[in-house]
Amino acid sequence: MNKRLLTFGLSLGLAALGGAFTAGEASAAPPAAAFRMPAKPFAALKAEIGRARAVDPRAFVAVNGIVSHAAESDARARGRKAPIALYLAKLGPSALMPMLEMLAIDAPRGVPAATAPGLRRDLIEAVGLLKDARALPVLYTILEDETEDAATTRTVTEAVARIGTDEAATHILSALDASRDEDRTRSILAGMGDCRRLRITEALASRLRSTSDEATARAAARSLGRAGNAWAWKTVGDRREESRIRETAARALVEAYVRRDGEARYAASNALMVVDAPETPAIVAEAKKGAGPDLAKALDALAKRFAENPTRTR
Amino acid sequence: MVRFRTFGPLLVAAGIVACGANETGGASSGAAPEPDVLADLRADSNRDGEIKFDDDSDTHKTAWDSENGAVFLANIDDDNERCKTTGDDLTLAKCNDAQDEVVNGDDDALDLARLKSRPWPKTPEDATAHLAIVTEAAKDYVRIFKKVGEGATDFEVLGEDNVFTHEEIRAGFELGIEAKDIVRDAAKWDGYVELELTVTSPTKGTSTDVVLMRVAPVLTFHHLLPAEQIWVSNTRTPGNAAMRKDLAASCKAAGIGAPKTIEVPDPWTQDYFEPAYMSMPGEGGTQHVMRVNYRSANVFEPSKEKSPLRPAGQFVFQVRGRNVAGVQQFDIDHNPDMDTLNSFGNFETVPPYTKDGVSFPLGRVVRGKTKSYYPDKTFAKMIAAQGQQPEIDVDTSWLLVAHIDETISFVKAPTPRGWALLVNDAPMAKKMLEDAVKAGKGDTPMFVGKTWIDFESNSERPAEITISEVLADTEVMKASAEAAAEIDGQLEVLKTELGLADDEIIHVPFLHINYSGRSAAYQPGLVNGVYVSDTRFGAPDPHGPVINGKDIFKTAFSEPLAKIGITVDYIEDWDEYHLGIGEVHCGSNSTRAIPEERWWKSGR
Repeated sequence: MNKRLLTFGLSLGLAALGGAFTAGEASAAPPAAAFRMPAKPFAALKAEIGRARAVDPRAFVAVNGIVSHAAESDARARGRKAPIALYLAKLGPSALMPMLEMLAIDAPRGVPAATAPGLRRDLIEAVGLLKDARALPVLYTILEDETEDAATTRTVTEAVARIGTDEAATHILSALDASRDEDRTRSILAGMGDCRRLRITEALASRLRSTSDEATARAAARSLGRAGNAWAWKTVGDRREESRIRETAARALVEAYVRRDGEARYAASNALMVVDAPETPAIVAEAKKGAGPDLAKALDALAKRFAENPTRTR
Repeated sequence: MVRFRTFGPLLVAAGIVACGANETGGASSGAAPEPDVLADLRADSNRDGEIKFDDDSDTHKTAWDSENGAVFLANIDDDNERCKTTGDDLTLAKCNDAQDEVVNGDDDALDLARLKSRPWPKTPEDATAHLAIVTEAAKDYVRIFKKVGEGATDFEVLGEDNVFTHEEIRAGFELGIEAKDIVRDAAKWDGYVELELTVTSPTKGTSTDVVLMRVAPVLTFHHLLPAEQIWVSNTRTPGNAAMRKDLAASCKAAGIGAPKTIEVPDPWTQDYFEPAYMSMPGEGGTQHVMRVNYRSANVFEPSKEKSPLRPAGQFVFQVRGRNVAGVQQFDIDHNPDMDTLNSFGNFETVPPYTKDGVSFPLGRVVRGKTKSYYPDKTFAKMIAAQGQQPEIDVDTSWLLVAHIDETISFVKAPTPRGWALLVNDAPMAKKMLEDAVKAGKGDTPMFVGKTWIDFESNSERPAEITISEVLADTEVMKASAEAAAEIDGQLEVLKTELGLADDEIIHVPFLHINYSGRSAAYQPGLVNGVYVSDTRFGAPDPHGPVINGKDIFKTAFSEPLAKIGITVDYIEDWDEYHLGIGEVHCGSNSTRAIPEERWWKSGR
């Protein structure tokens, strides 16, 4: 027996190949997304999945192997949620179609009810990590479904954001504008920072300025940190918008730091460190003009922290 | 805490008021005649393990401060091992020696703190005495026994209506006191109890005396106390076996016994119980100790009315026995989205220190907790009610598992403070990798021989990745930068609370990755290890890039620890633990030596 077989219990026996977790089999309840996807892209997706299965059936086996043991893996993970999305994403590009099939056509069967929502989010997250625009029609369908729970909405926003095309950004902003529910709005804000587009950053900055909700402010601040994350930007090929995004994020975060206190101020401070925008000292200095003694002291502390930015090597 | 009663021993005898039992002996002053009626109740108020009447040592009995004040135990062990070790959560927790009204053997008798009345031969025949629990809040929590024979267990419960006869008063009588529980909510009972003895003679008057006592708090162990026993779950997987093997080697090298296994499928041994203890003064300046194991407040199955808790936590009732107690406390309605914070990987104890003249001789509890993301409030209230190790809260909400042991640890150090803080430093890890690239080693692989996922197919994905690939991974870089800022926030809190200087901090390099919007260690988190002995730290094997024959992450961790006399043992934890978002510390636990420091001297 493979020594790792027991380690995570992710063995895929022959029984499973033809068993309850074979995604292509009929009779599983179709995911809600399948009903809402426009017919044309849905048909195209099905065709593409069929081609993928013909070319590389083992990819479907591999995804199914991980999915079939999700409950067991979760039970053994610290915090009771195994990073199944990461396992799935590590399978590489060939895992995309099997995962889209599970999301859009045949949901995995035999998954305990308690595991199913988390597993679905894992599939969504893993699809996002593969950064393949072919996933977008499925993801849009989930993103635009206002009946999805907050955690799923955050995850799917993040997935769309990671793919990050112009069209993806447009869909995110549309979903944000259309949202009338505070939890849903917060979830979209939390996930959209992974889209490194100036439009997205400006929307985040605007929401951070306008929200009166502490939790929403925290989510927006963290998301701005993600959008402007200096370390992440160094890994990105297209860096044309980097400096504007980081400066925009920094301005909004300093403003949030000035206007807010408690956890929202703390989140803004941490995000500013992550963004590490060169304009930050000037923005802080500007904010200090006319500030009262307490705020001036807080801004001095922020300036000092930035000067010794913990994201830079000591 | 310092506590004084508003009045001391009082003697009222037919219009004569004398002050204090010790003043009535008459030997030194000669001015006041010995009273006929005397109530003089004493406990071990000077904490020397004895109750004396021939000197004044136990007469400061209505004060409770760093010098004086008697202590008693919550008698919640199971000295005769009569409690069942299996059953539902609620029933299991109820069984202990304080559950019944009998003294369950010689060992149980030793758990009773004693009180004695001064023998008073002059007591008139019409005199009677009564003992009352004055502290209203304590009445439900305290039980008094009367010694009724020469045998160690010859005790009977003292009822509220008990009347001591004049013979008993003349001869002097002995009492035992136990708390039926630890303090869980200081607003309901703060652990103090005033006992009042009243001797009444219709012809000679009345005398009263009061003794203030306090139940021992439950205290957790800091890392510097010598490990006596390492624990690890036996989940019967190869990955678990690999860690147990390396952990055993580390224990052997440290000169302590082999790790004891706990036969449960839950690999996170750190999380489901927390060893602790309580103590009261014993004979000859010793401590009479009762070990306590807290069960985590993790609610895994809220719909199971009688057994909603994390199953592996029942371990605390399986090891309950002679001088060992188990305690569980939880709110079934606590927020399930925050339940991970109730694991004891999110409960560490900072070693002792003094800052700005304020001393914490038993250290302080440190947990991940914020205003919007917090552990079970009833459990937190119970910890706060112990009153000795004031909690420090840091933000772990950005971490997926959200445990404090993911980012910090403590080791001994030859410094005035005596210890150093280990803290995760993602920028340090990044720079190490960048330096390697600059040195032309960017193609060096890490995680060699490891896999991210395990399933039996021909498409198994190795975890092996080059240094340059790691530095180019947007997700790893993003998460690591965020971790750097968040850990800096944790460090700021710790520096402020502990007064730590930069040279008392050892930086530990590893990177992070995000999952489900939160962070986890991308490389095995070196800080997340077990401090096996003063000179050995068991850390997860980082499987870092090997350059010039050395794993650069092992070197970066081992060298600063070697300078303070600590050898690092690298323990294989990848398969069972790292991939499950935990490491060696998460997968182990330790029972440590009872500290010499007496909690009652803390002044708290």
